[in-house]
Formats: sequence, C-alpha cells, structure tokens
Amino acid sequence: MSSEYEKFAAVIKAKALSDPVEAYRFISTFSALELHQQAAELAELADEALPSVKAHAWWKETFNRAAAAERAESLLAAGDRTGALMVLDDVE
Amino acid sequence: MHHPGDEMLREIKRELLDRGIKLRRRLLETVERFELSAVGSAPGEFEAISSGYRQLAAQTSDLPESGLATQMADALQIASQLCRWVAGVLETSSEAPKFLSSAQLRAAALGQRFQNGPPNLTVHRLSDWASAVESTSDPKSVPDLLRSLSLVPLPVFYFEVRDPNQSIREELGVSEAPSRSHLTSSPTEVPVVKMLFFLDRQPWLTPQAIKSGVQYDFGVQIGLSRWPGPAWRLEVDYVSIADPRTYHVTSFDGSAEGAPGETRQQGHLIFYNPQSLRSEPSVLKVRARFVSGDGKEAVVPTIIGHTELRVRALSPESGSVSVCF
Repeated sequence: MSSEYEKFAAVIKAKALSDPVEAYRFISTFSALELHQQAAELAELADEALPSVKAHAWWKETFNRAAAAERAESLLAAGDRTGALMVLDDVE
Repeated sequence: MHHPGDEMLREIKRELLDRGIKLRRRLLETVERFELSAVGSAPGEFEAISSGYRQLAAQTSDLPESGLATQMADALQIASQLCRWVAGVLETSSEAPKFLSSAQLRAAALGQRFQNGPPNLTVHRLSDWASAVESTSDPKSVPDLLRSLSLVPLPVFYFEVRDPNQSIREELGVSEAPSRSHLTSSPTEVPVVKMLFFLDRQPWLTPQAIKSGVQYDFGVQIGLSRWPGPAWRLEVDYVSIADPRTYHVTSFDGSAEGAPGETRQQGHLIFYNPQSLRSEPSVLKVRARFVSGDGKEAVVPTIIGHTELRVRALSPESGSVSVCF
C-alpha cells in the first residue's frame, strides 16, 4: 500500500499544476474508499504543488478545503470529535 | 442506482464541498451543546441538518455518496425523535413514548436497509447505531447515542450530478424532471408499518400449522412511524397464489383519527381444505397501503415484523396439533 500510495502522491504532485481536475478526481476516489487520511494528505500535496498566484487561487482554496474535510472525517473515524471540530473551524 | 438511458454528468462543485463542511460542523456543534436537562432547540436543529443532507443526496444522486447522505439524513431524523422523547419525559408528557416508538421504528427500518449494504465503516457504524437506538429505553442514553452518531464518518461531497437532458426539457417547456422520489417513493419518505399477527391470542409462528375447517381468532398489532396525512387510512390485506375460495383471512384497516398510535384489531382466519403432507405451506404476502381521504392518492409503506404468513393447513383428524408446526 505504501509504495502504491507514493505513486499516487507523485501523480498528484505532477498533475496538480497541469491537470488539477485529474488530481481532484484522484482525491475523491480515495475519499470514496474511506481512505480519508490519505485523501487529506493528497489534497495537501496538491495545494502545496500549486504556486500562490491569482491564477491558481481557486484550485488552491478547493484543495485546502478538501484537505480539511478529509482530515475531519479521518479524525471522526478515529473517535476524535474535538479535533475534527477544530479542523473545520479553521477552514472558514 | 443507474437507470438505462439516463446518463448523468459529474460536475466539480465547490459549493457542495463547502455545504458538506458546514453541515458536518453544525452537527458536531449541536452534539457538543446538547444537554439532557435542556433539550431546547436540538430536535429542530437535527431536523434542519437532516434536511441539509437530504439536499446533498439529491444533488449527488446516482453516486455512492448520495445513498450514505440519505442514510445519515434518516439517522438525524431519528436523533430528532430521540430528543423529543427526552423533552417529553422531562415535561412528563403522555406523548413521550410515541416519540421513542417512532424513533425505534425508523431505526429498525434503517437497520434493515443495511443488511445488503456495502461493508464499509459508515454503514457498519450506522448499523450499530440503529441497533443501539432499537434497544434503548433510558433517556439518559441519548447523549451517548448522539455522540456516537456524530462519529459516523461520511464521504466528502466532490461532485454534483447534472442531468444532460435538462436543456432539452427546458426547450420543450418542461421546467423540471419528475423527481425520482415522486416516481418511486424514496425510502426516506416512506412510512414504516410494524405488523405482528396473533392466532388465538398467541404470537404467529412461521410456518403456522392450523386445522382445516376450524375458525381461529386472528389478530394484528399495528405500529406506525407516521401517517401521511390526517385524513388518510391504512388498508392491510394479503396476496397469495392459493385459490381465494379455499381460505378466508380478515383484512384490516384503520384511520389517522381513530388510531394515532399502536393499535390492535381482531378478525378471523379459516382454511377450508387440508394440504397434502409433502406440500409446501401456503404463503400469504402481507400488503399494506395508505389511501388519502379522497381515494386519489396512495402510499405504499415499508412493512417490518410479519411481512408474510406461512400456513400449513392440516386435516381436522390430525391429532392434537394446534398452532405450532
């Protein structure tokens, strides 16, 4: 799983700039499989891969929110309600 | 659910992602604030969050996350009923047991839907939660139930599903596609009817052995999650491939005015002819439907409990066999 995951992470880093829609689809696939922690990490990677310029602002914000939503779900799955609430408070 | 010739388009929609985040936060905050001694606005709050998840489900229809959002919406409605139960107990209201009964009926129906569901964590936790609601009898357990509901992980909503035929309908002057819930009765809106049958005041057995040619007392205990409307009536009858001239089983009905809660009704059952020893028991499928006051509308509820009656009619000379087979 870890080597497979690293491949996905590499794809996300490469795709985030050239094809953010594909990166978004990758992240949603992980989420649908209930791999919320991995989906959160991939969304953070996609956010980091995009430069902080106006042209990428929408996608950066989208990946940032996706990362928060996924992080919260992963914390809730682990029973951490307070942590999840803090993550969601930070997003808005 | 995929419908042939009904291709839907996925569209990235950040507004959907944002609404999912807001709903999740609102749910966590409502659970954090909940206090047994001050239920306050909690029932309305859970209703509102439930409605929000239902809207998300409608916007993501045909995607797996839509089904999970619907199930969470149903669970939140149950949570609302549990809060009303607690409020009723605190106010010593005679209505309180009805809220618990309604919550438990809905929880039973929710649990049934998970029997063939995907084996994921969300379904697993919701299923456990529904079982816990079914077995609860202490209002003090409600805060724990609400907390465990808030820990059910949910999918994140990334895509909205759009109907590519929408523009065609608009050109043709049809403003909206008929909603699927209207066509097939979404299970979330369908009332649940619990039916337990009795023969000579003993619980019905499956299969139930009886003597042919003997008339038995036949009773039913009916519990409802809700009535579709104040003037509606419930009709209960049976469908079978057995020749209708060979048996008689009383059909039942009731109205919202006459039977607001759980009711019992009595009738008779008789099978005129014995079966051969090696034949299969006769099966009477129990059928229920709500009919509006003017008779123009009907709603088919989900039946739980005895959904069919299996009967083995024995010869009258078959010794002391009474009701058990």
